[in-house]
Amino acid sequence: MKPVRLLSLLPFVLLVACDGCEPAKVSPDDTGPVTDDTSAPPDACDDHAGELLCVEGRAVTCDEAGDVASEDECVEAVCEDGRGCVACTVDLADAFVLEADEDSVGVVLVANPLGPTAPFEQLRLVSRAIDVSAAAGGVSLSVDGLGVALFDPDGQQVHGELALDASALPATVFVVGELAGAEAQLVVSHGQDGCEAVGDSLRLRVAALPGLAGGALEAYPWFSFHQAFEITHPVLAAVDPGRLPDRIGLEAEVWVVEHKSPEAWAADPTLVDVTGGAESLTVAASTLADSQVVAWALPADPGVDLLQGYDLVLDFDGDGALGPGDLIDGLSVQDAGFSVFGDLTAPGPYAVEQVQYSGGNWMGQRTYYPEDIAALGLLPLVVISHGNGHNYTWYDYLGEHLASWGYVVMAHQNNTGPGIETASTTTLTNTDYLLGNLSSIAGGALEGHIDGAAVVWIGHSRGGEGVVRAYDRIVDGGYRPNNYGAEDIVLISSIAPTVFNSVADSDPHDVPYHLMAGAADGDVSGSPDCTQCEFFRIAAAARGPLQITYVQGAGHNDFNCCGFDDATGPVQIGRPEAQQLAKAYYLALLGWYLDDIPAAAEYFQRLYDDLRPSALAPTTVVASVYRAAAASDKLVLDDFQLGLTPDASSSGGVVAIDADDVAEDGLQDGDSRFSWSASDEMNGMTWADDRLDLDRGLVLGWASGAEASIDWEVPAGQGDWRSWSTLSFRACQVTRHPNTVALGVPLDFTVTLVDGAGAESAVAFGSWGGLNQPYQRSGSGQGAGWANEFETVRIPLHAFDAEGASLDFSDIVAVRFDLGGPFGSATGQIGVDDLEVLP
Amino acid sequence: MRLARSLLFGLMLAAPPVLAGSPPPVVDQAVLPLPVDDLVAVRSFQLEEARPYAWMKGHEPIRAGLLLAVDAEPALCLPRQVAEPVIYVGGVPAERLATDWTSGRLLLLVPGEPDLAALPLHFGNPALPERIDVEQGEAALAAAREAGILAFSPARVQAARDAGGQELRLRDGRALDFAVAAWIEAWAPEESERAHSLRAPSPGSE
Repeated sequence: MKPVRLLSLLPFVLLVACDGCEPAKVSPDDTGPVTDDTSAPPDACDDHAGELLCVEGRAVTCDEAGDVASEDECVEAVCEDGRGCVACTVDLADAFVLEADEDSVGVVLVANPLGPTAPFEQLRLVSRAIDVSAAAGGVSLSVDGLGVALFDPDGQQVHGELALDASALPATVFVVGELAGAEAQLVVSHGQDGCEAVGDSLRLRVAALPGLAGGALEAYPWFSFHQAFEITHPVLAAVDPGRLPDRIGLEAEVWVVEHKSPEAWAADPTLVDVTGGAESLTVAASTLADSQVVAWALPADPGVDLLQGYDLVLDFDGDGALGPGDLIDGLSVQDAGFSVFGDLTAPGPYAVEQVQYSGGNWMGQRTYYPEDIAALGLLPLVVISHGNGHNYTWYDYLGEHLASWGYVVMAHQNNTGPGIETASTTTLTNTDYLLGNLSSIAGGALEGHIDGAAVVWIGHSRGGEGVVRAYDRIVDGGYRPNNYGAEDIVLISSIAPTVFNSVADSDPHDVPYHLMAGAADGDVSGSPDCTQCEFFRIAAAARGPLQITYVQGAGHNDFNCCGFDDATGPVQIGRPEAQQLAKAYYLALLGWYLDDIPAAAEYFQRLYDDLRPSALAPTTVVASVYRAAAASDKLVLDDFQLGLTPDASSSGGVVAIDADDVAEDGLQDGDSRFSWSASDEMNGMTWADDRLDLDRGLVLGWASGAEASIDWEVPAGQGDWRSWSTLSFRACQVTRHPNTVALGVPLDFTVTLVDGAGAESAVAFGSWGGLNQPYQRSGSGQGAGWANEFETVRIPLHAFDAEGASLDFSDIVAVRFDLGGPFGSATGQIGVDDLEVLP
Repeated sequence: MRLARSLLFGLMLAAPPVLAGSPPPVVDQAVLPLPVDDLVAVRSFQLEEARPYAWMKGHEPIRAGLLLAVDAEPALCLPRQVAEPVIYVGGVPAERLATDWTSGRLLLLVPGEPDLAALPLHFGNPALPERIDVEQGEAALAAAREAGILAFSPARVQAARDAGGQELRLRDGRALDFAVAAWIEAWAPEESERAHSLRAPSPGSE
């Protein structure tokens, strides 16, 4: 049943007065203003008895005798045979905008996600259809302003003016928003002589559509638009009334459909709901909080296919198809609107075969692969390099899991005893051996089924440093494998790696790098008195995309089956939980980097409190870091690497700090122990070693009852943020600092953007989650609290202009952290690094 | 040797209590060098094809060596990821083959034909063996001698050789893997899984 429309779909006729014009008389048939001048030739009505003619623009009435009975000069009117003087009227009408709102609210277009070169058949899906009509005569259309594209009724883009003659009217043209924040006018004017002063206009605005699918928040901005959903959380749909005010009061049917490409949508816009029935959503006039509806409640076990993406469509005209005026989340070749992730720890759809063999000295391998590999194409290869005293047979839990999801996994004998160089050698040679002997391994079952250009290296402990060293040897050291190259290594992950080498030699370079480690590690502990244990130093050196999964309560050997129990500290999660976590996160990581499941990135980019694998225990605590590649397109506001004083940022702006215990320095604990002292401002930091490498950051704090702030000036010329999408920074609580001890819980604060006119918009990120209290492990001095746990906080820029907040994103002048009770946690001491703005 | 061992026990007692089943605490470097407690078995081998020896910087590939089974303090045997005490035969780091840290049984491979009655077996400072060169090895030996660590007696060495069996004549490193597997099963049966993995068949015969 279609929802009740609040507006009639018939266009409204708009009469436009002509300023300064004399009011004209109305012709006898009320069709337009007339004059009394009679100058038609006497024979004008010959052969036209009883007709109404147009002679040289004048309306001539012929009597039954064929004589001129009267004639009228059309003023502000057009003469039409049979009709006489017809008033000059033109009209632009949108299906959803009231006539009275055309110049105020106007039509709000969503910014085109497809790019300007997309074919019209696809652009039409994000367009608005504007009906053009005129009582008589032709018209001329144009867009006055930038950032909006006009298309004629045939879908041809119009550059300049579009002339439509009377025979083409009424017509429908289409407008597409090209640039978020743009504003223009669609102007129509009469092309007829005498009607030049008549016209109509429609205000057009372009707004970014942050999405439609997401989850509710307890505070402003009231809704988080995102792509990844756990099976345990419903998918909500929301429309921001402040962003799309022309939709206020309108009702739409909410459709959850399988993702289609823009091409497929254009070919078949029919909506087929997968949830069992479309919901309806009414856009409230008040807040986002009131403009939400459950789009998909998600059954406990829907048989979710991890590779199945979904699009969410709001069908405003109720025609059961995606078309102009509807809204869609997911109109993209790459990205679905959202993905639902089931239990990432559960086995995948494939039965697994396992084979063990040796290619010679230090070439023992155990390889896991889908039983039905013969029916599958090329599969990525995951190589696991174990640690010292470990065995390559200790990773069945991970090998079988990943193979069940369609990967080939090979764990190999790793020569870690002598050191990192030999460990790296066995990673290199074992990878080469497998790729070079596919015809004999497993009876040849793997031949033709391994994508040699999609190789992932996972190393544990010394093997964790070994895989990084192996990559560095190819990139820097001239090592030449026989069967692959550096470009074929698409991802490296280290589990609690040692750091024996300088990070110039154990250097991940620009390959995507992931680090997983446990805060209860009793071997590679992360303690500041052990340079070999400070695994974050390798992460600091990474120039490619960086991901960190740091797990409270996990020991070193929790990530293999059989190493001795080294876990040290409270609330240990144990081997089963650690392995569940590893299975979930590695599946998500591979899905992101190898299988084009962009939504899987959110497991590494969102705060753990906001998105966590559903199979993990609710008490498991993880700190996630994501940092975009150094060379990627981003605006780095402050990475603290220039060694400046705290009042200047690395981007050249002024930094104003009003806080306690402020210091900017290398992220290195000053006295090699975690107990706090006032002279050790970088307490708990283990990202740098000033003899070898130096990652720098900032610390600052505030006491209970106090407020503090840090304000970064955005340098001149860097303030146009309309092409960026996310503000990102990483932050941590400083372990064992009195403020941290006093707080004793996760920490949050408020982030504020300021524009050039002084307008501000603030978001308290605590709605998504807080910065972890450091793992309460004792040792390394007095007190409890282990290494500082950086977490990345990513705030979408659209959160700052939710509900119509009038922030001018073309002129952002400052970013400010507001700290203290009114803004978040009452007290705290935090570390900050990598303040960036991302596309 | 007894004094050093008493010192080690003392240091361990000063450490946090070790729970049953828990690994021993990390050895304080200050107590090193320390001796190997006992030489249990020795077996020599010869290789037709040389096999690399990565446990010492710049060491030539080997065509001969010794398989050893020794007993030591469990804390010294525990395989760690961070630098662990290097085991020397004289001034040459020994290759760790297998470790049963619960009992303190270590299986080692030593290159060449060192005189075990003249060269002490000892634990030196934590390091990565691949970085230890000849000069550093000699310094470690000197430190061990200075600490009073002595070689095993000729009788003890002979008894160990008798227990270990006759010399092996092997083709290459792969064959040596199989011999090491048997050595593990004989002298550190707790590590039999490692032995099994060494015996993995060649591809195509899995």
